[in-house]
Amino acid sequence: MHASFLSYRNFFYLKVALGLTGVAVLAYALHNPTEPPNGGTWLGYTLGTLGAALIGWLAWFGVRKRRYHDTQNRLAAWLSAHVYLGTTLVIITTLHSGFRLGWNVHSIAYVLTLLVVASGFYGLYAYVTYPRLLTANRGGVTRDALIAEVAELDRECLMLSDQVGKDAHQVVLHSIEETVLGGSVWDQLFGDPARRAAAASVSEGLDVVKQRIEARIARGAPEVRQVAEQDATAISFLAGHMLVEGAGPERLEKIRRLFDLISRKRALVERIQRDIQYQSRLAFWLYLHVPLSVGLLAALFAHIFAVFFYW
Amino acid sequence: MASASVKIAIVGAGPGGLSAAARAAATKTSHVLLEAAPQLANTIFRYQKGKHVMAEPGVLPLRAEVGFEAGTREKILKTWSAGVQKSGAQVRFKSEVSAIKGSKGNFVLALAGGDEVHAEHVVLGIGLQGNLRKLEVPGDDLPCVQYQLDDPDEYHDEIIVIVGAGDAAIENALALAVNNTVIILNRRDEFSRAKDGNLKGIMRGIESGQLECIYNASPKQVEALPDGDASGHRLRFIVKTKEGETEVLCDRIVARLGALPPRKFVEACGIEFPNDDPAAVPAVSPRYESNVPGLYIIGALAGYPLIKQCINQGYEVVEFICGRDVEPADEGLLRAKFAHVPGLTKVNKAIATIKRDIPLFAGLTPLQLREFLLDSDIRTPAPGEVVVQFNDYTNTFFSILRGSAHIQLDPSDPTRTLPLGQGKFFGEMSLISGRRRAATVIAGEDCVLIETPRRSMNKLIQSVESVRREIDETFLLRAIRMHIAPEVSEDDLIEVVHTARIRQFNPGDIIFKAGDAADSLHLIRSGSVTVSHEIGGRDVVIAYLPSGNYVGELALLTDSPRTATVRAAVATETIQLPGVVFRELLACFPDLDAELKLKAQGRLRETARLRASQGAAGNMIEFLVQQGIGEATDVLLIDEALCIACDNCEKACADTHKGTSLLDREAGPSFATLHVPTSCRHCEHPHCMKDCPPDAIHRTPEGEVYIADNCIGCGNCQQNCPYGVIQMAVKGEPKKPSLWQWLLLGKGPAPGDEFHSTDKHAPKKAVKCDMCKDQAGGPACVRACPTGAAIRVSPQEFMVISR
Repeated sequence: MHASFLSYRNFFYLKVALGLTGVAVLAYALHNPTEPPNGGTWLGYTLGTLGAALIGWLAWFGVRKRRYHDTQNRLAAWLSAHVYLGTTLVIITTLHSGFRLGWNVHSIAYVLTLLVVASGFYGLYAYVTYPRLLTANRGGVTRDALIAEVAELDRECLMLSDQVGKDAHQVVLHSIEETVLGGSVWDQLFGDPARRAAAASVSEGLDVVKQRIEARIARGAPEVRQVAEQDATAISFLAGHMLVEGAGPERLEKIRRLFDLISRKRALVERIQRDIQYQSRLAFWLYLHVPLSVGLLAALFAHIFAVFFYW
Repeated sequence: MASASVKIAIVGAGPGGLSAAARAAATKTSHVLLEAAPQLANTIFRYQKGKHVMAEPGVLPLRAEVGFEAGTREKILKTWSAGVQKSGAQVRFKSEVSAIKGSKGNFVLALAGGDEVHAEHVVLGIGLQGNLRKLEVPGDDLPCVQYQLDDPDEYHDEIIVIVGAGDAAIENALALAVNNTVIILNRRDEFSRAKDGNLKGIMRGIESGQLECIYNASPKQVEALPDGDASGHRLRFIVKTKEGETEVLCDRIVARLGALPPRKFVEACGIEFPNDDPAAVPAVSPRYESNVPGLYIIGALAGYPLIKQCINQGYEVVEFICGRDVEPADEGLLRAKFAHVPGLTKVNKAIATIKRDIPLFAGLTPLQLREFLLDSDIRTPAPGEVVVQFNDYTNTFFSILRGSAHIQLDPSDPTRTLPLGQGKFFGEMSLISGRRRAATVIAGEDCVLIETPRRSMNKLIQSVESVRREIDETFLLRAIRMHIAPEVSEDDLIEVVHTARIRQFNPGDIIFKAGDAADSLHLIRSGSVTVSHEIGGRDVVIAYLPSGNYVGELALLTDSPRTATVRAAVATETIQLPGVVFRELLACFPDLDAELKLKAQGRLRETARLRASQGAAGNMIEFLVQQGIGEATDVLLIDEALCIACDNCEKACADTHKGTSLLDREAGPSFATLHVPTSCRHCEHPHCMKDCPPDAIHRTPEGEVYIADNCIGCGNCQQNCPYGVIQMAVKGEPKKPSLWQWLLLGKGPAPGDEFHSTDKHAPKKAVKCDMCKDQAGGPACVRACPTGAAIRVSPQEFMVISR
């Protein structure tokens, strides 16, 4: 029932794009100018005009997208055309140049065209890939709800840690304060490596401690082994100390619950981080695509101006 | 003992009484208006502060010396007070009439203080509210036991017991619960009398612990506690419950038990009541005169509870007494309606003709007919004109006053028609099922039709038993013919119809279970059902059937037990046909038998196919039905595998709807990658329409449910919508810069930005999705989706998706 913009009207715009490219390539192959192929031949001018018109029309997408009162055609049709016809630019502009490139203003326009198309391709990849990942990761819950759940877990952790002891409270409080969602653009897109490493070690440490607590509850006997040095986080240290100090069964149970809550929160935070990452990857490429397009428009203008001014 | 003599004594300064007094003053007729309370319009004075008072019926013109239009209680009281003062009406406040004696020309009204008033004529406009039902237990007149609540904000930090389960009790309870501890005492085990909005409000309040309810409880006794009682409270309320007596210590009891006609007083004046029903009102002549000559009754006591009617009657009664003839206030309107109908230009004659020629309305009183006609249109379509178009979403009801109309039986073959003659009606199918028109209807020769809107027709069906019965029977007959046995004549079906029963099911109710003996066939009349089979030990939905389909025929045709379980997906009504009758019908009509068997085979194949899909499709159907799509006519569905979360749908909605997005993309449940966002489903029987005081919610022929500009912002629809898609928003978006100004110069706000009013007191109105009915190209949300993730589909298409 749902039809992707890529398959819009049975790939109508893909067919248009292929036809257009086919005609351009055929014309280029049959064209036999007196001078080597370049933008100045009749075919060169034709392809150049076509390319410029396409670039103008493709840029118009930014305007059309926001014209919500425009009742002609669905935006999905526009995007379908935008993607396929945008791709033809690679061929059309290349043929227009007649493969004659140099260090000049004309080639800037060409390179920018390729960059815009490349960034568009990345966008296409993102549009095809991330929605499914995003949906699976969300699990039918909104991000706000996930964040609210984290806040609720934080509250529960604090309450429970109060009952465990002052040290525990301090550590939990510290951990809540340390929790950062999002972060810099880089962190959002690729994650903070340091934080990732820390998170991994915490998760590992938590698992080790949890197993020990559970083992101890099961056996009901004190365990005097020190928590390994490599569990280099405050929480695992603390846990180790608490174990060593020989807690009663009631206190042990509370510690176990506290660790449960902390692990759940960890998992949630990671889910939110992933959500942020997917969403930013879905949106970020536009910060390349759009400025590059504006640059391309400027370069295109300079290119056309130069051609006609220095005729 | 002081005494005065006037031509007209008016008892009760309610809307009717004050209007009568103002008219008498304007015509220089000697009169006096006697009012027991110290102010005008005591009933309205005691409404909750700021209450919005309606001026229904909207089309009825006001005929009075005092003004009246819908508005707040305060505004209306001010208008009346000024109007009465300006008119020079003679008002005596705090003058309770204790008895009326004498006869026409010489009535004596005894006042509670001992004074007497002599009058030639008496107008009784005392309403019903002066006679509030009391608790009727010892202590029911203690100071902190009250039967009215003027301003809930007056009370703080008290324990208050509310007695009653009607709208007034619930409204008071909810308002008081803001600042007090409230316990509501309900005689029964549910709040069945309340409006839907109030019902939801009180249930939410009880569930959230905001207030407490004691069910199946009745008051036994109220005792005052001495000042400075150790409990800190003022009253001890002894209550009988199922478990025995219990004691509630409280500060205040507010009992809202309704009102009764002040029968004793009225009967003492010599006025007769038609029967012993406590709610009965005395009969009056068309000139409002009771059985006692010279004694007139107007307003609620005469059976006219609407304020505007009371005011008009106050004016009219003075005219009648003074010997001037006035035609009813609606006469002009009705005359205009019949003006283009040759031979029926006189309203009285038209009404008599309707009563005579349309059996459906024979049981209505002239007054009921007048009210009904006020809402209706009289149409005189040319022969061959299309009156109802097949597949339109219109839901008006047509009665044939003269001439004929022709129902097209087959949309593909316009020559096959069923003629309907004078006195017959059509349009009941869409009215009942909430679905599209089942057939096109063409006007015949000399055709005069009465077209009645859905709301007025539903009101009539609910209030007049004979109308309900007749419409139901016709519906049964036509539905059985249309959906089961088109080739069988009406006469042959009459027997069948008489054995059929209308059954009602709540959402989730089982209509029949797999393995049950097959005793009947169900034709779905409104709502929709799911059919489920047991697959791998689990009940899996394999099909969804909207109204117009039938279920249960397989078992009857094959003489075997039920093979599937059928449940109501939403509130559903079915026509249940006994199996015996159905089999007899088949025996008489072998063609029908063969046709149904053929259809049944198709259904069996479909079932087998769905079973083979191992319930994947069924899970999807079940999910969609859980989202209320069983009653939707059009729903927004988002494919999350395509959705890039750009929110362009919301922006487009806000941009095309004055800065308010009427959909919430992210909210709402998902199944696999199918997401049902919070957005209007344009239900078959819209919950929002149920309780709209100004009747501002309508459906277009294309099916869009929208809110018109006469919304008063009461919020009922928002409360009634089970899908949370109606918002209250300030209307009137400030002028925005153009797209180019925003794009090139950065002038905000951006296209699609939501508008938030900075004025806290700006009036809010209800807004909801109208499916962009006024824009070409369909809903803006779908148009603006760049990836094709958002679509709007109708139920017929759902099953396609889920396969």
